[in-house]
Amino acid sequence: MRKRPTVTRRRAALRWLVALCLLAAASHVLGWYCMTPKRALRSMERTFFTEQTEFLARVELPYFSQELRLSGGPDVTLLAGYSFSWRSGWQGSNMVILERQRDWPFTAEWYGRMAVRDHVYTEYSYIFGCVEDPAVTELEIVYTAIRGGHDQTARLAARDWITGENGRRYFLYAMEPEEESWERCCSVTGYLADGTAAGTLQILDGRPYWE
Amino acid sequence: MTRREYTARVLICLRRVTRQEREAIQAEIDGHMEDHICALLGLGYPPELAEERTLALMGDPAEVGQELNRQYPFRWLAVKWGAIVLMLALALLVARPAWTWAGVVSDNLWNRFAPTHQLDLRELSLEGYVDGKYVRIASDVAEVDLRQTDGGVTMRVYQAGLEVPLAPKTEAWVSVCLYSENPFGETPQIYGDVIDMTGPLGREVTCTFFSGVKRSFTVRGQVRRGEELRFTYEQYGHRFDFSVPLPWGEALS
Repeated sequence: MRKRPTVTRRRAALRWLVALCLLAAASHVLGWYCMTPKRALRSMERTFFTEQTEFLARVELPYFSQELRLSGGPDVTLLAGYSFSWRSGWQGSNMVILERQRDWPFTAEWYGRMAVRDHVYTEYSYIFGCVEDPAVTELEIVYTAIRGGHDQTARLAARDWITGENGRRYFLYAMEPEEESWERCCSVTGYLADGTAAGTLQILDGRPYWE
Repeated sequence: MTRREYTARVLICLRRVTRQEREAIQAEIDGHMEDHICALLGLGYPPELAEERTLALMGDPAEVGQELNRQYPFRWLAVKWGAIVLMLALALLVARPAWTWAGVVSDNLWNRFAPTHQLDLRELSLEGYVDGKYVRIASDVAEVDLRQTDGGVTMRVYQAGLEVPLAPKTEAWVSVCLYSENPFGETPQIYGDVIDMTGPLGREVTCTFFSGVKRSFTVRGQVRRGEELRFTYEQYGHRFDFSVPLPWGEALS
């Protein structure tokens, strides 16, 4: 009778480790268990049929134990919440897709998440987008509280912008959290170097429109 | 001391060995002694003496046991058990997403090779049974095969039908599905609320989902006799543009 080759403990352990690594790699590649936020982004891009984008910036999203990550590509700018749990790996959620419009001076979108703590509603708002016209040197965000909350204004200069691939310029601005804000509007105005306005985009009133 | 007793004493000294390892060690010692006894018997030794000499040559069973313990280091056993536990945990974690993924792969393959299995225009009805008769949304349905690929995803138009082919103006329906060029890749889902389908001359073209399957759907639009149904999907840098011939048949003659 042919003798069965003896498998040493080391060899058996290494075989199981290799099998574990293969399963982990397959899970990551096929999107079953994302081990990086980038893989989670790829899954969302496929689901929503957007092109591939690259991560540009991230900010912590309080209360939700998530981080917001901005990513951009040739045609879209994405903002989504990402979180890691041992149970599900990296996962992205609540993605907002902003389609770029090259004939506009800039594109902008509002991203909001509402949290309830001790019966107090707190809204975390973020304004993000892409500066399309190189002549635009400054952006002004005006957040007007109509019912509840408070007014906010912010100016973003070129130094606040995020430069992506091929020199595309993006921005991501975290507004101050608003408590009990029930009705509001928000506009973004782009300014040229000489101070003239390139246009004002209303972004918190249904579909974005230019004033 | 007999061979059996010797082996038993060696095995008693073993610590942290698995059942299989214990059996392998026992077989190894037995085989080794068997070979030696056979050799001595071949030299003309009586069986009792051959066994006695063999046992003496094997050495102290306690020492043999300790040496064997060193040959089976516990750390590798711990690594193996750890890897098995992690593997099982990971397998449990990915079971559900893997099942979902299997559905996506299945959708990909059905849509590529036999899309009517997912959604068949011949079977669809908005009104169901009226006066005992099943009212289909399209009375004349023809098979077509128009495919366009963009970004690794193919949109396929595979059926076209008309509500009232003889009317001068009627509703045209087409069945559409999506599949990924890589059958194991994720396929996008078309959401009715974000889809932007535009027809010719600004006439509205709508997209209807008859089931939870978001990779198969119907597109409908008003057409005049003899026209094709044209629609465009354009979003996030991807574009599909179809002009679908409709089964006018006798209506044109």
